[in-house]
Amino acid sequence: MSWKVVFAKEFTEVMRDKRMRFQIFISPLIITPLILAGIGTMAKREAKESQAKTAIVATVRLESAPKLAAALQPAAKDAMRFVQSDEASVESDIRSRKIDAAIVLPEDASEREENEQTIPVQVRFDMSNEDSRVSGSKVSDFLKKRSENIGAERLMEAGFSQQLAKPIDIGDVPVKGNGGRGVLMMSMMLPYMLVLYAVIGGLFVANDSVAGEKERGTLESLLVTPISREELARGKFAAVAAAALVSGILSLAGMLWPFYVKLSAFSWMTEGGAAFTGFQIASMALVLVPLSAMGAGILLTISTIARNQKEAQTWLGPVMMVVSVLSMMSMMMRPNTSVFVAAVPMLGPALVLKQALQSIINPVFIGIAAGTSVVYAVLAVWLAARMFMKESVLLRT
Amino acid sequence: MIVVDALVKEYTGPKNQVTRAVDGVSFTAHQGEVFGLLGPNGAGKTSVLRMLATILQPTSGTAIIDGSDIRQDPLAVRRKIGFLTGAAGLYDRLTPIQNLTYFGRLHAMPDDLIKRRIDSLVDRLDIGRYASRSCDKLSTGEKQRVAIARAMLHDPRVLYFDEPTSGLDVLAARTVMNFLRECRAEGRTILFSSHIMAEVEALCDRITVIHRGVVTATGTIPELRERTGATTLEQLFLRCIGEDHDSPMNIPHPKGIAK
Repeated sequence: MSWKVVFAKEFTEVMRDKRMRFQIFISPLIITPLILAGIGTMAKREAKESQAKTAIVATVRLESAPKLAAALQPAAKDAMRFVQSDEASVESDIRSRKIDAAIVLPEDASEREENEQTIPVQVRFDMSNEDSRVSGSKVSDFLKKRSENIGAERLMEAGFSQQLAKPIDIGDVPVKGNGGRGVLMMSMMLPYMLVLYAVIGGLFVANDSVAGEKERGTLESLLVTPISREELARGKFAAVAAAALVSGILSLAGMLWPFYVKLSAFSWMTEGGAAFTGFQIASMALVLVPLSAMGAGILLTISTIARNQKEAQTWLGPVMMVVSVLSMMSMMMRPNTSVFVAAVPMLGPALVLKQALQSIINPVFIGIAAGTSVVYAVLAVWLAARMFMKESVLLRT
Repeated sequence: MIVVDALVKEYTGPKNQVTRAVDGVSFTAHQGEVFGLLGPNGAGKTSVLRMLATILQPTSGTAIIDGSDIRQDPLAVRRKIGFLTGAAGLYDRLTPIQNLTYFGRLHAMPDDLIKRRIDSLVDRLDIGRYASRSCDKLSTGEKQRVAIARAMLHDPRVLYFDEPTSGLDVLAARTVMNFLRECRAEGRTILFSSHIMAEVEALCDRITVIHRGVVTATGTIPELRERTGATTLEQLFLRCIGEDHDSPMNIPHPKGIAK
């Protein structure tokens, strides 16, 4: 059981290295939630400011529909300020941000208003400009409301009930119990973060444990001790996998604690509450086990092949890119997608995490994701062990 | 005792080209003897030492280290040997005590024995002042003392010294040389590889010269002096590798390789 001696020594070294302590413990537990709090608070403030801002809206031929103009001007109050313009310049003014949006009436607007016909009104705005997009949506909502009111007034004048113009009155009532906006955000962010931490959590430990040993000249001293290379590889693998697993579990804890510690910085994501069951949390932690093993296998293979830590880092670049892209795809995919996706490394487990967060239990999907993850983990560990046995690789300096 | 028998090591390059770094090396180092391994850079000394330490697997041939075969029972060989190079090879984030304890455990020594051996070596090598300080805060000489303690921790009967004073200052080098003398006095078998002729002359009972993977000469220094007619060890060394251009006493390469 010499691998336990190697494991214990590797972990002692981890605990003595500030950089590794930060990556494994501090970053997932403290820094990631703080970054989320910062992003959320900033986004909330931006949205509030954007909503509160008086939109500058250019009007084209609004004067030719005096009834509509009369209805719009007082109702707009502080939300919008109308400026007269012409059709030729509104688009360039929107693009150059002189105005936020524009209301463009047709040339026959006057005739249509007089005959009480529908007036096709265009609301123009710039999708790439947040202020313009919000203003455009504000103007559209405002016009729709005015349109409904004018229609109701016409019906009343004609002696009909105004309810004829509004056969359905829609009211949104969010269902409680599954948490609020925060859970939706978590179901997008958490799988990505967990997969990333579970795989890269062991990065520094892996780099240090073989490439670092080559670089410092300690590997030779280690290889002349009466411990088999299998035991040595096992001890190092266990240390890297443990670091990745601890990092993954702490990132789970890091995403959950804001829901239970009421801090105003997290209100934007926790205001709807969260209803995570022990089963959900345990399932998510369990998914991290094969992921950490696979990550440890890959990282240890790279560290063994590399001549030194710098070379290992160079090779890790493309690997981390693939891991990031695969786990990021989970943010955009529906949780209950095709079962074949479950077999994609990293993406399958990330979607299982997403399902767990949204209280979806799909045994076939979970089974395929778990089974293939274990297979990938075994392959990665086998590859790392094989590299460790090759003297041409292990003694590359 | 070390008996090396027709040791061969071939390396395969990236384009499958085979390089024979060690080509049938044989020699015997007796118990209590300091046996010098000499050769220019790239001669194959490190490959020989690594095979004898079971870090590398020989392509053919074998060696018996204190009764254990390097091919058949490498773990038993590793229990019997201590290895020291010019690079201390310590874990910088650990203290000397932690480094020594780690290697003691890898040798499957019981904890109480590890403690007794560490206490004794710390005392003998004067490590006490910095025994609980991180190794990254130690001087080169202090690190080399800890490396010596590590090589001796499991009380090996055979010691390999691969250029142990390379990169060390005079004081640190003297510590290593004194330690080597003590080991010989204790009856341990020592294989000593060095480029420093003064060290070789002062310490080695017998030497073997390796050139391009092949043993060109083996014997005591006086024997080889007589054979080559050399007056200095440097001259002797050059003649053993056929590089003393003005001398007719150059030893021809056994494989007929021209210089």
